[in-house]
Amino acid sequence: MIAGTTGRIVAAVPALAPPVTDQADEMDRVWNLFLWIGLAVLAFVVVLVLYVIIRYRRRSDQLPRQKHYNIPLEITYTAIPLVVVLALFAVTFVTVNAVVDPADQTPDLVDDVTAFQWQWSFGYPDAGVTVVGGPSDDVPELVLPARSTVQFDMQSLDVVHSFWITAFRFKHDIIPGTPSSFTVDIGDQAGDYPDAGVCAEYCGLDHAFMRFAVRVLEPDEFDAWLADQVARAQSTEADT
Amino acid sequence: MTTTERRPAPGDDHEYGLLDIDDFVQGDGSAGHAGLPRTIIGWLSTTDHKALGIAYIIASMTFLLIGGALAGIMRAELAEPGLQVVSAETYNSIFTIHGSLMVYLFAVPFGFGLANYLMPLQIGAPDLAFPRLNAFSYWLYVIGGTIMLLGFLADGGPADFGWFAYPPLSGAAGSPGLGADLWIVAILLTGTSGTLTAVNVIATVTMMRTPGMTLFRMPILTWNLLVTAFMVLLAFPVLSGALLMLLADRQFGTHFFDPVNGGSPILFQHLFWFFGHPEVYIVALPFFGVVTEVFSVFSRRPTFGYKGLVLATLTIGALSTSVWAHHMFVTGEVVLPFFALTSALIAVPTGVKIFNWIGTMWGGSISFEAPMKFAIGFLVTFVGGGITGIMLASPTIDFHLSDSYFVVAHFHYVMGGTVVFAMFAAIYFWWPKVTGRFLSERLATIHFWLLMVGFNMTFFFMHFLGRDGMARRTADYPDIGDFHLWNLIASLGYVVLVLSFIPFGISVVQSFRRPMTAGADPWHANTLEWATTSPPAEHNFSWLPPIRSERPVFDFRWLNYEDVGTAGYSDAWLARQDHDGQWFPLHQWSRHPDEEPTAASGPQEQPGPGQRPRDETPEQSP
Amino acid sequence: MRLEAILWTGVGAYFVTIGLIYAAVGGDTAGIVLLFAAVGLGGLIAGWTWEWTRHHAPRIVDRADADASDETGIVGVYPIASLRPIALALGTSALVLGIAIGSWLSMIGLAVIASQVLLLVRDTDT
Repeated sequence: MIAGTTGRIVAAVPALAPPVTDQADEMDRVWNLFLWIGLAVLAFVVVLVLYVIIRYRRRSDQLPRQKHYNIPLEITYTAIPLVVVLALFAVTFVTVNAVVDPADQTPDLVDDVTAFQWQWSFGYPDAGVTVVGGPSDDVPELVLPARSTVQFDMQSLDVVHSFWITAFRFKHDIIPGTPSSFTVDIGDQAGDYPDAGVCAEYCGLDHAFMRFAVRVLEPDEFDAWLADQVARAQSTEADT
Repeated sequence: MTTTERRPAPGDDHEYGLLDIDDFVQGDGSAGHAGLPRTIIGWLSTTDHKALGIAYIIASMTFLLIGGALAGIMRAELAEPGLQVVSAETYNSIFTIHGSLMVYLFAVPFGFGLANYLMPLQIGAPDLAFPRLNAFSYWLYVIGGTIMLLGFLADGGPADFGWFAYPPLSGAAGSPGLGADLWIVAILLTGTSGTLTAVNVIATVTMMRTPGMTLFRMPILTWNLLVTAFMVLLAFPVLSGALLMLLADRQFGTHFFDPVNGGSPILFQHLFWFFGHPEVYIVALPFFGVVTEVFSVFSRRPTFGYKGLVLATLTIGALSTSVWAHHMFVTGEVVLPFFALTSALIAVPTGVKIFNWIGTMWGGSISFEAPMKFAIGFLVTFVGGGITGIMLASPTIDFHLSDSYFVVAHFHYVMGGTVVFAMFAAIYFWWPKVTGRFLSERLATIHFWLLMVGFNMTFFFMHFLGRDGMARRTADYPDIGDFHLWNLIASLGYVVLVLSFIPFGISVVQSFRRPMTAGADPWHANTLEWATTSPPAEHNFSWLPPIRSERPVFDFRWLNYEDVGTAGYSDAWLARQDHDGQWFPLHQWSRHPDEEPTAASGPQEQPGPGQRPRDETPEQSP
Repeated sequence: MRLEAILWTGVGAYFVTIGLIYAAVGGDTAGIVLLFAAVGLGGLIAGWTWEWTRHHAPRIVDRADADASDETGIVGVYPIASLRPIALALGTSALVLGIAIGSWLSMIGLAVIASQVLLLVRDTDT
């Protein structure tokens, strides 16, 4: 019921998309590691507590042996958790830079993400295309090519927002006045993730509705989509 | 988990050769609430730490009930996808005030209430070091809390920017209403209140301990309150400074946090969380102290690893000031490895404490009266929250889980363990001392199980919600996956939580109809507050037992039995023998050396050497 | 008092250490400043307690074999009840609330605080 990357119990279509980027794959592995170790520790402590309260419940009025301390034992149960914690930290240390450090190679695609109360705008500067969400249910769609390195350049026009793509297992706060960016390697699978995009930093009235969809297309389909967007923009210009 | 016949009554112990504290404590407390005020003016002008302690607890629990009611509105709204109950704007104010009430106005002040009432009693002092300052702190807190709630009457409603109040959302442009300013004023006042209480606590613990009460004989609760007080001194002024800067941005046209004019929103986050992380340990540490006492008393064992526990508390206090930016992992602006390491390390002293508590129970003789039930409830709940904390300490994992319902689940588990379960452990444990009466064990059992079920129903499935992508502080959620199912279960769990308060409320009301029969030491406990009447008289003590270990009342009760606490177990016992190995007779310890011994100063026969310990009295409750 | 002094010195030493480490790994300025300010906070109390040990004999309370009867006499003089605290709290609240509501309220608050301070001085015996 609890295991695995989605944590779902009942729903046919889980809310959480499978990992879409290479980094997300790695993060899911780390999550599983921590989850199992954490559950093991929890089980150990709970079993200990249950054992103690059953085995040592009061049976007579005899005063039990008054043990004040046991230095070797105390050192042991300080040292072992310390080792476990340091090992978990080592895992963290090795994996955390995967998304945070700038990529060695130039990205295949740069995406401008602009957050404002309470919508998103995604720009593809090389093609001159911008996708903006409309009022309430008009959720914008972030279209990305599979098997590509994508760099997201983010900015906020007003308050602190947070760009969370659940399929990436990653979010980045967008602080006004501080443009920031991160880079991911999109994986193999094309797919449609209509609920993967969330604003994760409380930003006021319609924070709950500041969502976006994510769609990963095969690279040639993505190029076609981009060309289509350019054409549409031009025809709209021509009309005005 | 059965209990035996009845609580110890005065006179029982003589049968077994144990000393009965009631024989030595002067007066029987039935002179009424001897120290407590009886008129309104009396309560408004009191400086007595016991009255103020009770006042803190009543005020904080009132704020708890209001915050809980607000949570009910939130859960009612979230039970179904779509906005049915309140508008988004109202919902945003409600979660803001819910969080603010719970953290600023309930959790911390309840701890101050414990510090006020118990700490002087535990160290043998007649009051806190600065009684009028203490009263000033209390009134600042109450007035401040009221001001925050007055926001509901303001145009535009109360503050609605979350309990962390990040700018620019909380700035002049982001939140233009009066409610926001009232919120800031309220926290400035309550923060000052806390800082002054911390000063009082440190001064009292340093300067007003009774002779024999060396630092390492203080109860663990007092140690924890001392460390908490230092953390308050460190953290609260930083919050006050950050909020003054925010207020200045709002009112005086400064630009500390205004990015348009060169300010830095992230500076606020650093300042806030430098306060905010110690804050949650300020909430937790007093309750760690509470359960340490409870485990020891109800297992009939000394606290296992006392010095280790003190060291662990100091380590937690120290590390907690160095982890703050783990709340900011996703900003991209913080030194990730430093904070990941310190945040992970803090699990070690916390684990040591948990093992010490288990060690206290190990080999003991455990009975499950109400305080013990709730202490065990604390233990399992808190460990659950601690495990998710270790997960969140890893940025790799936190990148996904930050600002999601996983965090909501985590902090409710740790806060629930401490501020809910351990709080009730404290109430049930010290109720006889404070009121002289007992609370019903039967109702306490119902209370405990309803709380256990309701609490887990409400918060357990939030782990899944967060992992699956539900963001926190959202008035609504999309109907995807199992979001609806888990939210519905959580909302039903809330109903069970509310029900759990009913047996407690009935028990409280019924208790005041009972006579004051508790006596000085109804639980056969360890620390000095049990060496005075119930309730304690004005200025607390007219007599004190000798203090030779961290369990003076336990030592005193077993004074006749040299096998208990033999050399190697506690060096306190060596001090009671003169050079010939003869035990000092009792009456030399309870009067001034120049006084003549009187007939009424306790059992007259001297214990002989080599007397075997016999069984202790039955001491359970119905 | 030596033990207290050592304890608070330890607090100061911890913050020096962690402050230096944090600065070395490239921590933010505010955090570094606050950690070193904490050195000052712990150091303030440590300094006071060290000074105290220099000017006073070891206290009865710190002796392992002391009894309550060893230190008889008046522990301190406390007012049993006083309206100063609540009045001061009202004045202080008015002072701060005036920042939000209007400076007229702050003026009233200041007046209340001033009057209460004078009364506190009158209340003091020494």
